[in-house]
Amino acid sequence: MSRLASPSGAVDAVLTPPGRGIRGFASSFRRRRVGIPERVALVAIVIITVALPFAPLLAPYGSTAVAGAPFTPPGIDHLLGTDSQGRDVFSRVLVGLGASWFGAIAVIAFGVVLGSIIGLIAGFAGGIVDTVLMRLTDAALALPATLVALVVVAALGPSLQNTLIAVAVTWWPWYARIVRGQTRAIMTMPHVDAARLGGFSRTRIALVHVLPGSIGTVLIAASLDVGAVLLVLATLSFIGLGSPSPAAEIGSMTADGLTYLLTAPWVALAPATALFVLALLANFAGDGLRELAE
Amino acid sequence: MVRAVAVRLASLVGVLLLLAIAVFLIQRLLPADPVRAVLGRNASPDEIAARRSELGFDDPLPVQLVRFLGDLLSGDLGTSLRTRSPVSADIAAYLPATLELVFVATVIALLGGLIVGVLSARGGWLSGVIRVVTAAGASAPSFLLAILGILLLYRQLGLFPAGGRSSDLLATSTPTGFLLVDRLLAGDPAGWLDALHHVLLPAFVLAVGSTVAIARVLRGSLRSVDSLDFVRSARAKGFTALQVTTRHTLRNSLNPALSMTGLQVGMLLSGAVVVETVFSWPGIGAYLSASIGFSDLPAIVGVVLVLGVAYVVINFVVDMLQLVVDPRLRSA
Repeated sequence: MSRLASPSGAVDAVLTPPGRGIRGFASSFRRRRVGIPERVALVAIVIITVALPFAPLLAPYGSTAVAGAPFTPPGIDHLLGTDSQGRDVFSRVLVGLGASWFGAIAVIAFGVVLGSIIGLIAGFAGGIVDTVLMRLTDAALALPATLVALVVVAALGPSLQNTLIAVAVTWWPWYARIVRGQTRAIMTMPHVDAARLGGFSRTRIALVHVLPGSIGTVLIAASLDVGAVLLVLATLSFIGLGSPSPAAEIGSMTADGLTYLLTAPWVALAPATALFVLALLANFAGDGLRELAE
Repeated sequence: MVRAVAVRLASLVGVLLLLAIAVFLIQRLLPADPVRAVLGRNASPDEIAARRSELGFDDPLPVQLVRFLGDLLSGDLGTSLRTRSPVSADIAAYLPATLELVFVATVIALLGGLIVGVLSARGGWLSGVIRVVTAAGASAPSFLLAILGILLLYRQLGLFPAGGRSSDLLATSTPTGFLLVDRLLAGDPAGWLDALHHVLLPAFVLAVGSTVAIARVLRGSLRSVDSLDFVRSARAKGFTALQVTTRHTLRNSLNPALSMTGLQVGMLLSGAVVVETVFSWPGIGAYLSASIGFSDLPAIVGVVLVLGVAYVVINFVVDMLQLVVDPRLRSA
């Protein structure tokens, strides 16, 4: 007797739950199912993501170079003025935003990967493995993540890199929970039974037939978190856990500017406001993505 | 009910233990050398080795862990490298100022969240405005709000002081450490108003994020309760919109908002670090910032442990309150 189905890519494709795909997103976007602020934010975020890697080139001055007299107010030569050392605030904000933005995305990406692995294993294996992993996740959720991250950075030594590591290792439990829930739900669907009857290995079923169905939900959840991670990273830098002084970081620049807040408010105001705009765009874009997916 | 309480109590103990173990492991496994930090850069290798074994860093990790937990239970958090006094004494001195700030912020966040949540659930143009404002509030870093508060309300309008707890910089707070309580006890109404005047701006800045979070949750649950049959019946009987909101929907929507408030009190405690730094508020947040500048690991760990325990315990208390408010949860 021949086997009912041979494990092939074509069968995988048939047995994978239907996703909306890029085309679905594009048509939702065109059909205006998404509000105006969200649409603007989505477009802006795409532009920002493409442009910010070139921030050092776009900046009119070097981010750590002395570019003029200290405390020059905002004007034509220096769009956002200069700081106490005469460095160009606009250039520093651009470079700092780039570091924040890609730092936040890296943290989220790490959290999604780690959370997905844990959630997929827990949901797919079930039984004792599930119980242990989910208890661990619950416990990690109950701990104040920012505070744990704070101790990690303090022990590793203050720097942007260490801040990213510290936040990344505390930012996965929600994603694990989401993927685990999705995995449990997808496991009951007929296509998974079919795949099992088709003789596929457990690993292949987990990765090819179950994971793709749950990854959408976790990516939407993750996109809603980018704004929050931006703020956490900047806050840790603000209280002194970022890279030491000349480095252009939004949080530490704002903290340095506090000293001159009443005489040269732009030094603190510019980086803080820029971060606010970026976080606002990220939050609206996350909402937009969620609306597109619904 | 007993079972539900027991389960939550057990998980509380488990989470507290996990917090302590996590902090212990971070301290011991990461490269920071506590002995070198105490003795300074010029200590000889012999000195360091002698001090290491004296402080017990040569013992096996499990032995060190048990000693660490024992010290914690007896309230010993080690000695600060910066102030050279016991960390627990430092924290005890700074904690009341933080609690006072967080308490006022919680009141603001709860009242503000209730009002904003109810208004935004009612629909109309106001809810559109509120939606934009809350989205902005959720995206604003607290240091931006603090800076704007100082620039607008202190420098431009002169409505609030820029920082500190009191106009009298040398004012001490005895016996409780809570200035608002102490001045009331001392029968000093002018001083009480001065203290209130100083706490309002930092507390408001601190409360913005939590107000938004509470309002959003309340709005969601008001909306879902609003579509239930008993609300329709109440409307059909001819109650006004205000009556239906206060008597029917609000009471049945409070539980998620209450739970969010508990979560937010924990957030306010850690958020206080930034706000205290900006407003020179003499609490454990400002103490933590100063300790970070000095790489004072014992002090940093001490503050984080206190804040972390407060966070976990507050959430436990809120859990218990929910059991009281909502009998349906008791069977779980």
